[in-house]
Amino acid sequence: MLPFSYDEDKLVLLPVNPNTLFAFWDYSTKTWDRIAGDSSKSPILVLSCDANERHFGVEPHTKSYYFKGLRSNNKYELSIVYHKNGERVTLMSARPITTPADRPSSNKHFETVKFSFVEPPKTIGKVNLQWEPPVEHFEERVNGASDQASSGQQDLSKNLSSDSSSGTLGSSEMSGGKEQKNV
Amino acid sequence: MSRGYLSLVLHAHLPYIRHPEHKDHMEERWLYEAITETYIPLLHVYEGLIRDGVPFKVTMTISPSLAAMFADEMLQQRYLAHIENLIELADKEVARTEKEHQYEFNNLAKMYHSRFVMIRQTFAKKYGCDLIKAFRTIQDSDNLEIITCGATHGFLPLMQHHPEALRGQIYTAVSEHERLFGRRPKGIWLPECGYFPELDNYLAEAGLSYFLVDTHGVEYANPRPYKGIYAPVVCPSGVAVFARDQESSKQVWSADEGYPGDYDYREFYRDVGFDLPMEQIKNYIHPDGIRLNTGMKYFKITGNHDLQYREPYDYNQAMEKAASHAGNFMFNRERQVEWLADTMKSEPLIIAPYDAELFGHWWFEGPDWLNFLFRKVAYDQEMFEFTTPRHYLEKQPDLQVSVPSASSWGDKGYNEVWLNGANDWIYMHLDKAVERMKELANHPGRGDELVERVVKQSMRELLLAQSSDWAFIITNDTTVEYAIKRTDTHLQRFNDLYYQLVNGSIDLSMLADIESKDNLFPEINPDVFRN
Repeated sequence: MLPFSYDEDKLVLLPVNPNTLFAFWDYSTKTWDRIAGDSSKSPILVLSCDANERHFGVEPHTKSYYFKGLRSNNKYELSIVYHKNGERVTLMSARPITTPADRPSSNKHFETVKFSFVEPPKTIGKVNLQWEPPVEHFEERVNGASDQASSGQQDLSKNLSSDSSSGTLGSSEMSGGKEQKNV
Repeated sequence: MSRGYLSLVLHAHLPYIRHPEHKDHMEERWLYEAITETYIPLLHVYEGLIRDGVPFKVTMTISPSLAAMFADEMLQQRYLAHIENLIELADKEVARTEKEHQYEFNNLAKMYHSRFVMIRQTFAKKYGCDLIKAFRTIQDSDNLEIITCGATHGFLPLMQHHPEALRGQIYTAVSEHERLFGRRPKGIWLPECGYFPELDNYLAEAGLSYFLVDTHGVEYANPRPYKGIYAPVVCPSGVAVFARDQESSKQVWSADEGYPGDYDYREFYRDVGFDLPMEQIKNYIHPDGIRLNTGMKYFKITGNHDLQYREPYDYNQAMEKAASHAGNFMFNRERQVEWLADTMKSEPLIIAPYDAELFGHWWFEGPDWLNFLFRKVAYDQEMFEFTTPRHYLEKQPDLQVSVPSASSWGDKGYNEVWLNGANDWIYMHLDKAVERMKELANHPGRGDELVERVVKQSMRELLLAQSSDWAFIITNDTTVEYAIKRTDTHLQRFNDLYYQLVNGSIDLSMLADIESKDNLFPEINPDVFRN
């Protein structure tokens, strides 16, 4: 069963059509504890475009929303906020999204180039495709892996312990292995 | 001397459906039906044209998930058993219809028998059960341009906040295509034609030179394209973009006005799988007694009456109609090209893309229509010639620089088919899985054989969960239970692997089990998720 929450603060804005955006969000336990049970801290969605803001009050347990009647081809920003002592506190913000265009552009600038085919890549993003991953931390376990393969369960904790504490993968959710949040 | 170009683009795609744990899985039949009714009939058309020296050009997407199924030995063997079973059914139907003096149906049963035998011959004997090899052979003739698609047909506009997810779909597709088809694809069919500004940067990064969008993707481009949709534009990234022509699409595609709805064509919804008594059909439907389409259909569309009233299908009459419709399509393109060339003062390019499975599966006579069209265009007119986007671009045309508009070819032209109240719950989980995939790709244990297996399988599960097909099926309310199950299953498998690696305790039997089930993309490269 997929979890109800991933115990993190996240807000994502996605385009639906020229006049509609969809947002979904999640709360960490810490944030949830701040806002739940205190009506003065009810979350408010703040959708802004240029200098204009629209506010949408939502129930604390709501986790998604469709914004309709928006302007096409406009950049929108979204935050979830609450008010504390008259001050706005931003809980999280989404990456801005531009709604699709729904009509021909009025821009009549005209420029041409002679087409040439794109060269095959040597890298993708920051990654050199010839990259060889490091193996030095795992030599010990690699040597023992074949012996344990038939047992059906392999314990990597010994080898992973130093890496887990480095913070790379060390969130409480991951180490606890429990995703269900009680709300 | 031709005055313009027509480019047919057939998008062949099915989601990756492979269930070794079930002997007879209903949804696995989608592939078998499409091989029998679309992919091999199209190969027969291409082979015939090459044999007869008829010049033609066509572009086909073969999506990476479909290509992976073509290359899978278990599915190849299952298809072989499927076509053998169909031949047996047709054989029995020839005898039954003769015994019962159903002469109109008897002729059809013989036609089906002969078709199925020929399809088995092509599949098993000619190409050794390897349809990749079959399409490669046609590709080598330079008449067929095969392009790629998203690795699992993930809908890219809804991944726009995750560059790594975009790279996962695009780079995996390009490298798998090169591995299977022996050459790097020049172009890509964006899954569902889903585009957003800046997506072309990722295509350029993967070495892709062109893509296709729906009409309004170029119509609403910025700056406004001065040749409209009848010439490609080029994005600032250097990637060219071609737009679908509505007029030529509608003639073939439209349920109301399109050719496939002609009353003389074969009725899709009357099949012996539903019409014959259970005693006669039970060995050729699902073992649980669930009736299904076998591909043997005896009736024509006839009219808009009750489905139960249908007249016997006349194959020869349908072939005449297909030839006539091919002539009509050609005539309309001639007039269209003539008018456009006069107006534009240059050679127009008409892009006519269709789902490949329309031809043969949904529209039984579709491959024959294509065959007639290619031959008529080659010999009966001089107004236009066929081309492919690659051949067009090889002439190094001057293209207007413009950024296409966000768009898709789904209902209403944007993203609502894949993002609405019925399926929006998917995206929170996909989003989290992408973030976790980045962690896995950066895992300090990368390079170790076992860790690599886990990370690669995790990426396969993520890609499979991203297939746009699941959200599409949920919206269209067809096999919803299956689509939800697939989404859940792949995300659950992903999460299990993630926790196992993070907690340092890998369940080898579980890993081996899902590696054997979701076995596509053997050379998958999780490095695209590194940052």
